[in-house]
Amino acid sequence: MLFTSTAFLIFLPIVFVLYWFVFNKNIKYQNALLLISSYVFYGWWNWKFLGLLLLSTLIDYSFGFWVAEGSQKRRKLFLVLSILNNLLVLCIFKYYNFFIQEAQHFLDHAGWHVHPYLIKVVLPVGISFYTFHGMSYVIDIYRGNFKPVKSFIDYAVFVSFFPLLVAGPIERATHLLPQIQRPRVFQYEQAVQGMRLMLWGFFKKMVIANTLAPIVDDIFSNYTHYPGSVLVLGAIYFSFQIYGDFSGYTDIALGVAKLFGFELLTNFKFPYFSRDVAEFWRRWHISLSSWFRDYVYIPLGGSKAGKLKAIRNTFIIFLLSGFWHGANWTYIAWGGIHALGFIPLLLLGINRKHSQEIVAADRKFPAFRDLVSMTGTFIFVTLAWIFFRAETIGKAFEYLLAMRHGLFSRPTYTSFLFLYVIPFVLLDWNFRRHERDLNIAPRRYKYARYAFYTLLLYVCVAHSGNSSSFIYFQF
Amino acid sequence: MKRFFKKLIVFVIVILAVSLVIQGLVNIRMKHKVIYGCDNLDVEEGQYHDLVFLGSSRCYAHFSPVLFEQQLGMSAINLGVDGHSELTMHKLRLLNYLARNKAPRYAILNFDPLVWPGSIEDNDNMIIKDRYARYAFFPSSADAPIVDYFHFNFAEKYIPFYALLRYKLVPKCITLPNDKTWRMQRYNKVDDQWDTTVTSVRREEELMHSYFDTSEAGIKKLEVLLRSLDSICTNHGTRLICVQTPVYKSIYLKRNFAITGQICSQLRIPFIDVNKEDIDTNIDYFYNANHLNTKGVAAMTKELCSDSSFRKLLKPV
Repeated sequence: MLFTSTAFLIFLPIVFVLYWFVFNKNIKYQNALLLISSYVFYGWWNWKFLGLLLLSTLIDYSFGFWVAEGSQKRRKLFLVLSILNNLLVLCIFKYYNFFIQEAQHFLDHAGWHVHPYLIKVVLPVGISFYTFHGMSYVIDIYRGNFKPVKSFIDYAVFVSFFPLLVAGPIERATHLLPQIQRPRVFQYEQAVQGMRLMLWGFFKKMVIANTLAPIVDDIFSNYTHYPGSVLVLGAIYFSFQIYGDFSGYTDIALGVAKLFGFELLTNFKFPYFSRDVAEFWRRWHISLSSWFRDYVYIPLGGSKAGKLKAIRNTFIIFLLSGFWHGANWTYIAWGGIHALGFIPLLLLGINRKHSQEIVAADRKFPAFRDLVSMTGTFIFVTLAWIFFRAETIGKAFEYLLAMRHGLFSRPTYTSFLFLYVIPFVLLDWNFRRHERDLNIAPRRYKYARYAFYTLLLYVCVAHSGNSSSFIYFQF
Repeated sequence: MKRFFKKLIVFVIVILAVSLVIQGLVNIRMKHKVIYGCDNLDVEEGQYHDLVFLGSSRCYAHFSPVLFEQQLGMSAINLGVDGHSELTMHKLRLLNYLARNKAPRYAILNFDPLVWPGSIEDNDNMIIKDRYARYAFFPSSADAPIVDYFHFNFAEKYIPFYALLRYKLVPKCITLPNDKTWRMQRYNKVDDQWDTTVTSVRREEELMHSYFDTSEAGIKKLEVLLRSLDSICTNHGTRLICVQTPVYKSIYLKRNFAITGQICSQLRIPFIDVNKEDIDTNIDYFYNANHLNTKGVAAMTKELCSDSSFRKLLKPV
């Protein structure tokens, strides 16, 4: 079920009313309702994969108990088995064909012609998200950060809670499970904030991402026919398309969760206002980067095991992060490019320079230096997105090279820059200190705020005809 | 919780009220005006015309009411629907006209092998759905069949301002960019000539030759629909006349273009084919293989109005 579909528009109020008015007396009933709703939400897309979700949940739930008790050797064995099981699920459904085809190419070059069996199955939506939920749960129990939950329903809700099931944020057991286990109380402020987040998320998805999507598709499909100026616009538009799409989804997910009394992990913190690549990764898909940091980077020694190891570890997590997105060399290249942008900062010891405050936190406009840093980071990130978006690495390079020709010619599609991208950047800039509170006016001007919400709603409806799925569903 | 629901309900009510006001203002602005041209359902209400032209874009581009008025001294209106070759749509368009106006004396249907039956239940041609979205909100009994034909959903029909927003009609509702031109021309006047470097003759031939449905079932369905259209006309005291307007010579497949005449002959509906050599061989008369430009329209109107069988059918006022 898509957040932007009519089905969801009906589904959400029904679940909300049942949750707060019918099953509000008992947390077990509330959790059971959330579980059933989550399975309905997921099954709406393809009920055949519900079995896989259930099986994956059952296995990790069992491993949770097995890694919690017994000798260290036994616990470690079960931890490895659990990780292998999750990776196996991912490999079969997401990476099998990629590995097999790459092996086939390799053997072809070596003169061995083989015809391997390829799996003809669609990628189960959200598989990368729920397997990562399962892994984090088992690892956290193994590390002693968390005790296995007794209630299967509670655990299953953690894995499949519908707002985050198909595109994250990737939650941690230590963060979400305690919320699932304790009674929820309806809080007005939380619910209102949830509604605002949803509205802003719908705006980002329906207005920004869906409007830019066909233009980006056209430019990336016909890059040989367009001058460099249009290709530059295409890359910029893709930067905003993917940001609007993914952060829009996250905002809706966070907003919906708030309506049910849950606080999910923040996934985006205005990434395009980052002043260097390191800051970008603390602001973009935070739940994924922190997952890799906590479960891969730090166990490998992080940055404290010498410079060479720090470089190796950085490369590993960036390449893994790229590969997590999909079975294609383009994603790996994208991760590699970001690693190349990150490592100089690491070596110079300035990768934590902008670790806390948002840019220009105490002023309206950025300082010149910050502006230059932000622009530079945005250009770097945008160029890397070309690899992410292109079908092959070769095409990404061709796109980059084609940018040289006609770079200063008058481009088409400029109206979208002024109608969508620039207003969006200005709005995002305005919200950066209030975490998308949609606070465009001081509290006392409540009518101005309501007028703004109404305007956003109208703009969303006006763009509701351009439907497209969320990019991150495929990951 | 109460506070949340109270505020949410008030917010929704205020939005609905604001939307209703805007919808009302837009309706006033659009009343008896066109946004695109063929969305002219309510343009002329309670009026009388001797001739109404029915059909697809070929009708909309080929029949100039002004020229017919000059040639025949009869008032005319073009009800052609751009992008819709379904006979079902032409029938709905006529019914809509009859519900609003006095029945005409003659209904001239552009009937050729480019027409297909279509159906109300299974219509999947949404090419110009947006143009009719202005009629979607609480449709009148006259407009309801057309609104249903385009499968406008519940929200589009009953939430004020929703359809106008969703189909991005608001700017055009305010500026009405085509209204003035349409009022002068009253059909789709195209001055351009066919640019064969953009769409080659061969490309058009391939497209058009694969377009015709000459299957028995297809023809049967056409017959049924044409018969029903004829009975509607008869019941209103209107005479239905079928006219096959010109296509460029290379797509005029004699076998296919004879079928329409045979159907009409079986149903005893007058049929005139205006594919005359001096028109359909002259590429200067077309803006593509099956649409005449202004020059072609003038030539065709002259040809049709001087056709003795056509003149016999129309008794000049």
